[in-house]
Amino acid sequence: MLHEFQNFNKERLDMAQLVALAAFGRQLRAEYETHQLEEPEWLDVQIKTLRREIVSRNADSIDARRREIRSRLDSLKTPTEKREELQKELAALDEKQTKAASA
Amino acid sequence: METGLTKNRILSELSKSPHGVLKEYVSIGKQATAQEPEFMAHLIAWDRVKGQVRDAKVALPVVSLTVPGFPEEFVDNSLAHLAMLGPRELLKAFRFVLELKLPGRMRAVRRLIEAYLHEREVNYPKWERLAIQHRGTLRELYALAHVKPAHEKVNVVLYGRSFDKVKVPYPAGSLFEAVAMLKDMSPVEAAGVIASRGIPFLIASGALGSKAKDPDLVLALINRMSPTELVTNTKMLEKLGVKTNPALRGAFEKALEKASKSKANVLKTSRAAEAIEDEGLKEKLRGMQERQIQALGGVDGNWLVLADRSGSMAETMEVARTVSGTLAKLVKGKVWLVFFDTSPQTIDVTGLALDVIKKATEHIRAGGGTSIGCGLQRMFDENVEVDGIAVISDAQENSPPFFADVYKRYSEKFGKEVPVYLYRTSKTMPYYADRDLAASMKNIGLDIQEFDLSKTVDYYSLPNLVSTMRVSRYSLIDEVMATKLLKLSDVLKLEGKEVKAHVA
Repeated sequence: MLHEFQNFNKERLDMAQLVALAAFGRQLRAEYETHQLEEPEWLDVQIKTLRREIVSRNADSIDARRREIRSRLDSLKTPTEKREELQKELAALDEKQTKAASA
Repeated sequence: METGLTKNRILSELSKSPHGVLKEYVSIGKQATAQEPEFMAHLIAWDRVKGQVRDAKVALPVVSLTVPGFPEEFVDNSLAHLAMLGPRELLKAFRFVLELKLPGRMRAVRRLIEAYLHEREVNYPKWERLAIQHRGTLRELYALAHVKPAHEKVNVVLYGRSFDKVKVPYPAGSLFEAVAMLKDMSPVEAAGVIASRGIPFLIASGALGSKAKDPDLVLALINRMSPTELVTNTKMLEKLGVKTNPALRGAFEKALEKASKSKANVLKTSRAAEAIEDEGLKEKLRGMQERQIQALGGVDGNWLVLADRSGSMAETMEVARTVSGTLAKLVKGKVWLVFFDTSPQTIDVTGLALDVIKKATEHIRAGGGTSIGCGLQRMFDENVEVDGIAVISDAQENSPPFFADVYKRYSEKFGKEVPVYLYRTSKTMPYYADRDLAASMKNIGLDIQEFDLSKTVDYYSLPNLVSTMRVSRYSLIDEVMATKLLKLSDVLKLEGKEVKAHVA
């Protein structure tokens, strides 16, 4: 596990593996603290890399899901709702054009 | 002298991929069916569950049906396995049947196809999902087997006409209508329709045309890709911004995770990784393949890979790297890769990825004499116990210690006969002093399993061959024989009279 922690390639790991390694890193850090040993430099680097990757992947997946839900909602709109939206958009464009012409 | 096929040879011959040339299975398949009908029937069943080569799933049941006197129970199993195929594979199988001609069994196959097609028609929404992807194939199957659709809706979708031959548009609210309308929708709405109607990637991307570049649509398409589609289209996804757009990156990660549980595309992933330029994406695909190989599982113990690095064995060395790379991921124990000419060079490759092994061994060059035994001698001297040996070589030894001699001493020392698998590469003209490994093992009364790679080396098939290696000499055969046979009546509920009643 230590070898894996020291040599991982974040691109090759899936979320479960990233989380497992991060948990191992935290345990390792706690153990160094318990024994009042000086923490090696790589430990901090690896923990930070793992955290950054987990946070960014999580944010990415939330972003993907949000977009997915938005498009699903759009496809559920009735023709009346779609017509209303288009009419609103048309009205806004008309207004814009009138303003531009009068300026 | 007895010259029949051994079960091990049947297994190794039939694990190779003929890349669509199904006829390559005929000779060995017929021989195997005639000689070992029960084993063949179980092999067909095992191959459906564990096999990696799609061609074998199509060809083996058909070839088994060509043999007269194949017991009825096993015929039923072969037919049941044909009925388990997808439409594209079934069409391939039926064309193969028409090519081979099965005396006395043609009617059974035609009836099977009729039942197959009509059973799918019973559940229209499900049929529609099938037809959206395989309409051409289904049309061909109906035509070739002279079957008429039982439902008018099916007739409309397949041929664009009702039963009374009047041209009719696609049924309102059908999947086909949704696909036709995709190109006129806004990207966000189209993405929603793809997701909610579950339109397959290939169909949706075809219907969208250049519009498919919109991030919302790319995201929807990624979600609809099968593991194989994901792997083969990674380069395209790279161009569409899967590395730069966070939402696409998230969807791609999720899809990769899903694909890494699939056993379908192990053989394609490494080739796909080679085609990608972005290092990050390359690594992602490699990580995915590692997990896929692990998911294949099934090989226990510690393994020794003896790789020939004697003169003109450059390709053999490449095969050895692939075999040890696959083994390193498949086995729970240790894997040693030993390159030998007349002396061994040992590398512990346990758990290492293929590209790491390639990098670590890139400076090992081919040259020198051949002593296959020296690699095993090293293990013997160092008291290292292995459970299986893979030899990758042209199997012509010319320098001592000879493998068979060392093997005998090794077996005595550890009190077990370790199974030996020979990957015979590049057939070279043997010199008078050369000793063939298989022949010398036979001389001392030991059997080795041989994979013949002398004509061509198919890197797609290698992981498949490796996954058939076992630490116990006959355990794979036991595994095959333990696979349950199927009955046609379990697979097709509409078989026989019920079909006719249904059509009427």
